[in-house]
Amino acid sequence: MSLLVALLVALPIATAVLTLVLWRWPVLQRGVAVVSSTALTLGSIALVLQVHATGIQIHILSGWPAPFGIVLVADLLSASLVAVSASVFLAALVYSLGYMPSGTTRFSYLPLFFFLHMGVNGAFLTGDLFNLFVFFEVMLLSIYGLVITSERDSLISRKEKLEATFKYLVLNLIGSALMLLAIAILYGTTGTLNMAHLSIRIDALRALGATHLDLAAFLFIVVFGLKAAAVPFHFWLPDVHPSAPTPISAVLSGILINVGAYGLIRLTTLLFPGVQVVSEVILLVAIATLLLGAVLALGQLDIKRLLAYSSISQMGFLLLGVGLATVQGLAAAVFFLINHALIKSMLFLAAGGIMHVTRERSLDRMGGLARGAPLLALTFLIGVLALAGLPPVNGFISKLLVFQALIESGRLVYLLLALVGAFLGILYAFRAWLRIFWGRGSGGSETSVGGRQLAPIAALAGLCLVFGLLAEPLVGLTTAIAGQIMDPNVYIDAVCPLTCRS
Amino acid sequence: MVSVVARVVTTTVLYVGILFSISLLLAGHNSPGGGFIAGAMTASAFTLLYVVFGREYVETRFRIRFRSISALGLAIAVFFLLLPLAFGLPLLSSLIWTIQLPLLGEVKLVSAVGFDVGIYLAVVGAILTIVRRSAGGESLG
Repeated sequence: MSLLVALLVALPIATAVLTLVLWRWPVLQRGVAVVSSTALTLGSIALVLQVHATGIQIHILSGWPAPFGIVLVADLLSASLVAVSASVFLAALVYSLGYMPSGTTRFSYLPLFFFLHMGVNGAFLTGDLFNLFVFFEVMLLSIYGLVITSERDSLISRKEKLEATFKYLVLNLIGSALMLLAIAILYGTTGTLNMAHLSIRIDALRALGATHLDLAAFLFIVVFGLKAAAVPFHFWLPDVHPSAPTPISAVLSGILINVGAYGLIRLTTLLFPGVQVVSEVILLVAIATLLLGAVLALGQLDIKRLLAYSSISQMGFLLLGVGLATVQGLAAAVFFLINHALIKSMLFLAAGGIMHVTRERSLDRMGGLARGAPLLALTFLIGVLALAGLPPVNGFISKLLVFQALIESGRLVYLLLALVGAFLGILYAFRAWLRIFWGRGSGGSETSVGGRQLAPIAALAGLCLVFGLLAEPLVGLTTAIAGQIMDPNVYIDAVCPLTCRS
Repeated sequence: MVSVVARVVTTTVLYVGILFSISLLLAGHNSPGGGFIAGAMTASAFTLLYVVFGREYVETRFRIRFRSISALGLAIAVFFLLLPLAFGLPLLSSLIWTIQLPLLGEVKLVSAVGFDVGIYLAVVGAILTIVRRSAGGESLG
């Protein structure tokens, strides 16, 4: 029974309520937020070490053991994703405090920010399928509020924000209905919602020929694909992510789409392991996502929209690893997941800084910023190298691992198409960098971007470099993660060894 | 103009609805009921009051800060969510104290009730904040 697992869900909600109650004392409120976010980051890193040292940690909520009650389960995958998310949340929070007008942070922004944090942590840590649905809803409700929050550089009109939120709301209502349907199919057939228990029973029922369960698997692909912005459910992302205030864009593109990818990983490794048709569908979706995202990113003029489309393309690479369903593939996917979170959130924060300096969103009206904003130029360059998949940054290693996994599984057609996507990635990434930082232009001065905005960008860029140059420990960790999730029995034995198998 | 029947029914329903919702709140956990539906019922009784009598009429008679109520409710719920940790029990566990009261005899105090009360206040506060906001400045009477 691990206290740490429980605190990672309980602390964000306690902070959300505290920030709500402390609205009269903004300094105290911000202090509480930063302290709590730092504690969450450190706590989640401690959890990764604890899981690595002593195995899967569980917390049985309200004392009802699995499969009857809800358990929080931290295996290496969940713990690592929580740690990465907490770091990105911390960076986004520090950025917000220098950027968001204090009027908005006082009332709704900070509480919703921590409710979102709780939803993300909960989604990664829960061992119960219906509870996962609940945490998805917690995340969505917080996002609706956060996206329409007005920011300091109001380059995006309130009308655009409302339109994007409405689109997101409608799509996710449909997604939630489908998820509920999928859960109902599984629960109606197996009589359980605990994921470990489900794994055993789905396996047994499929062996007896219950093929209708595959329908639930495909519904889950749609639901998680919608969250991960996989083609053909990608079209909401370029509206929603750029419309949000900059720190929220960073969180959305860095973490929220990861939650969808996490769902797909659990689907292919725990609930429906070794089901060939599911993996093949994911591979096809992945390659379409990768290519379409890259082609669409090439034509974008709006800096945030370009980054949003590149998120779609990068998700494609990630899903290739998931669809391969081999240890190398999953290790590559998890490595990609962790690094894309860092890269994309850093790029969105840097884009926010660029927009702050130039008062522009369009690449056409930018240029020559390398002189006025050298630090932004350097960090953005690191991000661009990572997006393009060039050394010496982490994006290179993550693409290399995906390609390696493709070669080892003998998927040469997919490899060729992925290489085309990677090439397009170089084009759209450098096109953006050249337009913004080189050439002639009004420039502008970096001094108007505060230290609280630059520090998180620099920290995330530093991490991108570190994981590019010293990738070995992280590769070791992701290989261990892949090894652990490839065998569902490890998870099942940790959650409910006796009651579930009887 | 709202009919006399609506006005009379509303005043009656208000008391009955709130009493019934409180009984639902306390009955919850072991039998059907609980904080959420009790909160929704209380909020609907108040909503009826707003719809029939109008915001101005209602707010000249009493003024409740619904936002603060929902914040208070959340705080109470989170307190009871975390409380079991202090006793070395998992999150959300229900703590049970049995105490002897004069006349009433043995009474069980359950921390789940505290959690439900928090949820009840949060739901009432949130729904009525939305209702008041969407009522805007104009009178609905």
